[in-house]
Amino acid sequence: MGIREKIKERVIREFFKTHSYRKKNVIDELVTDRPFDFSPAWEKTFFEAMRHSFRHHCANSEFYRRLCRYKGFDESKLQSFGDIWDIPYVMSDVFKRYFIQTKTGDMLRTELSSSGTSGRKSKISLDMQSGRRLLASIYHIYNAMGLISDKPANYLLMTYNPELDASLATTNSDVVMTHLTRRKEIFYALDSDGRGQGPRFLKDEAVEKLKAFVDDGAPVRMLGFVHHACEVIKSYAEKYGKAPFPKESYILTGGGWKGGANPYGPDFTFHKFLAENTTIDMRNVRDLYTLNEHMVFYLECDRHNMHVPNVALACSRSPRDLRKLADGDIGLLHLYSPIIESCPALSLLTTDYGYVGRSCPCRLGGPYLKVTGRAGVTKKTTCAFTADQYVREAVPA
Amino acid sequence: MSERAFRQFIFGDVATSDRPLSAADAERLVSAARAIRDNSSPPPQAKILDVFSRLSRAWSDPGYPPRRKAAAALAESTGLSGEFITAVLNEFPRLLAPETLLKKIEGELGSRAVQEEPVLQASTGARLMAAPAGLVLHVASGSVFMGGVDSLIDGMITRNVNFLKMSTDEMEFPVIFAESLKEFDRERVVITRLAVLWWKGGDAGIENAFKSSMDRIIFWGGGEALSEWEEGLAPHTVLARHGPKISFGVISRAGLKRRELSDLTDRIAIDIAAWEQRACNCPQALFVENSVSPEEMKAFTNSLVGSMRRINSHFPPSRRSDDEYVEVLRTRELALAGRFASGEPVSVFGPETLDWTVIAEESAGKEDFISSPLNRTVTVRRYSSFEMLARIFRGRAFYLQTAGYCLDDPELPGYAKFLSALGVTRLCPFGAMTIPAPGAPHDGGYLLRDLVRYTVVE
Repeated sequence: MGIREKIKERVIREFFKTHSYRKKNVIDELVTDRPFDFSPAWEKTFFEAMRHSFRHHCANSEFYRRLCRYKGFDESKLQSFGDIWDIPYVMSDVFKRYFIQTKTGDMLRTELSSSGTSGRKSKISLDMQSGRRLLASIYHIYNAMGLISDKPANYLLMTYNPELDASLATTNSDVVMTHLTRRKEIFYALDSDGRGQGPRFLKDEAVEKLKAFVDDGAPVRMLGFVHHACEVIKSYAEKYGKAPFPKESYILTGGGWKGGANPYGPDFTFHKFLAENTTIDMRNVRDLYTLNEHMVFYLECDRHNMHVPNVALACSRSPRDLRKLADGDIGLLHLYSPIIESCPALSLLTTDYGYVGRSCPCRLGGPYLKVTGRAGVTKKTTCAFTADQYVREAVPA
Repeated sequence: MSERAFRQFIFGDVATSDRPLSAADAERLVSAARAIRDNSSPPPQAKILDVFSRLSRAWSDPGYPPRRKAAAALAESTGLSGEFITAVLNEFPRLLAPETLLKKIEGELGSRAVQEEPVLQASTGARLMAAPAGLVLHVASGSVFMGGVDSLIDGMITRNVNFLKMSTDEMEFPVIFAESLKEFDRERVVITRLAVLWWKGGDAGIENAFKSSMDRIIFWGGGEALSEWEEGLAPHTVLARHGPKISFGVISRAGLKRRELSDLTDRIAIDIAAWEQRACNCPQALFVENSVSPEEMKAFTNSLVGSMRRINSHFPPSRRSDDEYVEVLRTRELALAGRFASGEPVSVFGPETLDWTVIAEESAGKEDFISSPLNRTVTVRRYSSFEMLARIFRGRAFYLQTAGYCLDDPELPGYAKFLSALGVTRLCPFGAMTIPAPGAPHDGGYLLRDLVRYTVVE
């Protein structure tokens, strides 16, 4: 483990000991123990935080300054909450092509990369203050959703052992989530096979570990990639029958299969699969939407809607002219958040389709996201060589 | 009848079904085709040309009911503008005319008579005869609706027993064409050797029936589908691989000086807008010689932008999917990000509606490969030498196709030699990139030669 990873681990441990961190500016005012409060007072704080963030990125990111100048947008156009929607965006794919940073006073930054499920990985830089802010935000979100418990749990992680690659964002978020309870045991299903080879998907070992956890009786928390979780559960069911997850167990997945491209066929649904192969309470199966470039957690409530926490704003936009769409209308998801200061992603246009809803019957309130697919990946049947073919060629599967 | 009806044309008759083709249907059809091939003589060329002559005359009339029906169906299925469809249908009779077809036969097979009798080959002193290959499946690509029918015409004039697999993007026009053919083929010399079918691409049961029994498979389309067709072919089945191709343009300083700028860029705009760049011969990038001064370059770019604007009102863009819009948007954003990230002098022109996009790189130096998301998106890049162009396209010779050019006459041989070595299979002036000359090779080879078997008579 390198010095940065040690510091990162220490920061995580310290945060979960005190559940607080030292606040520095107006952005920190947003991070409270009421992550789904959208009162008028919040609106004022959010606007101030976004204005602070905009000023910071324009002053400290040459990239973002040039972009705003090109789009003819400056601070004078940011006068009220409604103006936030007009803050110039960076498209998420840009972070897959360029490593773009904003200067901060923090020299101890961490570089995080995405898992590259769409072909290219994005890489971003995270400063300590933004990292602490994120941790606090994540903690408050899980706390508000009732997922923090004193009861020790066994963790089965369908993700990479951070000792193999600590820069993967998904690994980092899953490691953070092992701090939401006291930990009995942690098993990484994507790990070295013990013979110096790796990382490998240790499916058989994961199945046996799940069996041991089930026999142990303590709550199990299964985290990480959906595909690997399915593979382990399927093998478990074939060998031992339906997996009897102990009470208060959770399956917390981190996206995957956007657009429905899963290997189990078009009729597959994760919930149906779990109902057939496990005894897990479906209210305890939660998916998460987050992006390496944005890092805000949009976690599912027990009604399976991904709630927008109040450190962010979201809308959908028409792919044809980028006009802001009404709630419920499917378009490209556009996310806004001031909480990362080391990367100019305060206004991020994603390449995911989805919509913003507001009628979730759960007690949390506020808007939520429905992610319906990944954009711009149509299979080409034309005889013209196309950009997507080039990407497929250039990036080995 | 279910909600969806599948219209196909099977050896002389339209067949409508409430279900798509099955593997058992395919086996039956292949078996019937085999019987036709083995038990009947190929029709005389003259009779085939006679049918096409009458067909060509009929399609010359804009009021001809099948033409009107085709125009309406194509607008619905392809989303291409009515103006563009009309322009293509105006050209269609020329494609069917016996003069064109004879030019094709003579240009590609070496003689007008070679399918009927032994013809002396002057260079060897031997005589040659071209017999039909036998059973031929044409796999049509999506979006370029004329491609499948054009390939089918090649199959018919070489007197084969032909199957056409329609693209899912366009399942009407080939059937309308076959019906129209039937109207004029009173002796049933062509239509009884023709089946126009549809199934969902990748259906192994159906495709294996063809892979194991065709003499030739003429494939047009994208890389993924091509890979699927390459698998599991019978030893006697020859696959003609017209996979994905990229085309581009080159503009030299001397060439630019001798051309009227707006005429040149209007021609380039036509090449870009035709088929929404979905055809293999539409330019995706334009390379302008680095010795063109910044002022001349600016004038060229401005003129191209004006031409793109004009062509947009003349041929409105086609209907597009959300994904296609996103791909264009992504291309624009990445180009601009280069400018913001490293100060690269790049400009992006085009309306917010994403109808067309010109990405102008103002200085030479970038050597990464250029590919376009299509839909009227073109990158203009400076080149300083042949070597630089070679580095941009290194390792992609298989994908190269047409190079449009604006060169001074004395430059042409040098460029031809270089581009040919690079992998380019056709050079032509701008404005003609999507209109290949009949009888000339395509993708580096003669299409008709893939459809015949030569016999040498010594």
